[in-house]
Amino acid sequence: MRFNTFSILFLALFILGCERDDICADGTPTTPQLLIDFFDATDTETVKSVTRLSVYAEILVTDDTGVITLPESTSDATLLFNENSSSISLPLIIGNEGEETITRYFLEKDTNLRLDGDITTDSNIDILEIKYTPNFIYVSRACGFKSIFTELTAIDNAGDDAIKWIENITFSNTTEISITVENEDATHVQIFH
Amino acid sequence: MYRYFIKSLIILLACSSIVFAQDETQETATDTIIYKQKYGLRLGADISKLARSFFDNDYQGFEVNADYRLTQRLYISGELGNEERTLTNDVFNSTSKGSYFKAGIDYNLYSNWLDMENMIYSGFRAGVSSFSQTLNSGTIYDINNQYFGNQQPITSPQEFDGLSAIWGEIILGIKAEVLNNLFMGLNLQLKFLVTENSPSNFENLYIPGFNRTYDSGGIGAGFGYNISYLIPIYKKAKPTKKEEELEIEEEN
Repeated sequence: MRFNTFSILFLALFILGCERDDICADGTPTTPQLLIDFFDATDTETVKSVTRLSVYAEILVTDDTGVITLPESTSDATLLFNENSSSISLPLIIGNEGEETITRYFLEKDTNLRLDGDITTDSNIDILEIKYTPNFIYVSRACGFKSIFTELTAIDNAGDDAIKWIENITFSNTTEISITVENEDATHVQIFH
Repeated sequence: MYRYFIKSLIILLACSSIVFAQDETQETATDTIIYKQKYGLRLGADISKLARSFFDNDYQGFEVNADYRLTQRLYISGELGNEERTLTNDVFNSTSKGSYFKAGIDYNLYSNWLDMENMIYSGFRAGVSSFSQTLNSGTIYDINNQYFGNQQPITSPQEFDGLSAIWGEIILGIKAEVLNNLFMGLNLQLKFLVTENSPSNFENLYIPGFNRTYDSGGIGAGFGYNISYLIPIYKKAKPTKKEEELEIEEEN
């Protein structure tokens, strides 16, 4: 009897000793990206790919003096380069909690027209300006905290060329003026072009 | 003889391994000499916590404990302690700080030889802890942050006050009289969390007295290495083997 009690205790301690809960599992939902789908501007139900799209954050192509160098090839700065695409996922800069933060992305359509050396034709760059307030949420002891993005708005700037290829930006499944991005379960933003 | 037994018990303690060298059937059961046993209050401290406070930068703590002998085998006992523990992992660093109190009973499973008064015991405790946790620093977990090449730190420490926890505990241990009235003991504790008051948007990672918590549920573990001194209050004859057997039968 006495030995049984001891063996149960030791077994329990052994099992506890083997436990690992300090590694954040791959599938855990943590800080979400902003998910964007592209649709046709006239037939708004139809998914429409953007031709030769390149996506890069403004901060990564701008040097300290404010000079913008457009990427010539796939690099660390490009999320997508010179590819037809109907959806993109944009990581957002996590700023201080509770402070309004802005991430600007260059969405360059027809990148091949800039690369081909023909000066009569050029790509069309629109700048997507995403404004939001980060909010830190506890996930677990292994993953720590994630950030969600509240009061998120997305607006389109024409960029240097003053011509917009994006016609309209809306949020999925809502008519609110801003949204909260909490997870990656569904597309957040729809861009019509 | 006496000394030999005590020495062997010290060695047993030092090795921190529990070996049952003797079985009760081997005891001398036929003698009729009456041994007087000491009853009283035993006061002590957990020296493992003191040692750890000295060697481990992330730990500060002490525990005082006491037990009072009620019957031949039954003791009422309790512990009072204070701990401060800092836990660090890849994503954050936090400190738990607070006091705890445990009360319960110990039951001596061991029939001593001759006039010895050592213990191999099992016990139960109810524990309660009042503490605070501070999130010292950390980074926001984002698997996509390599794109921007920086991580968002948690800059200002955040303190969560007024936390509490209640748990039950099973103890198994030994106590050996190494000098007259001076005891050394080792025990293992298995803890079951009953209720806890968790901070909002955080979690109790370390509860003073309960020790580390785990994701899988409310089970904790701990150990103690005690030194204690018995203040004898009165003496009472040790029941003979026969009396004891009768007593056990009655209990059953």
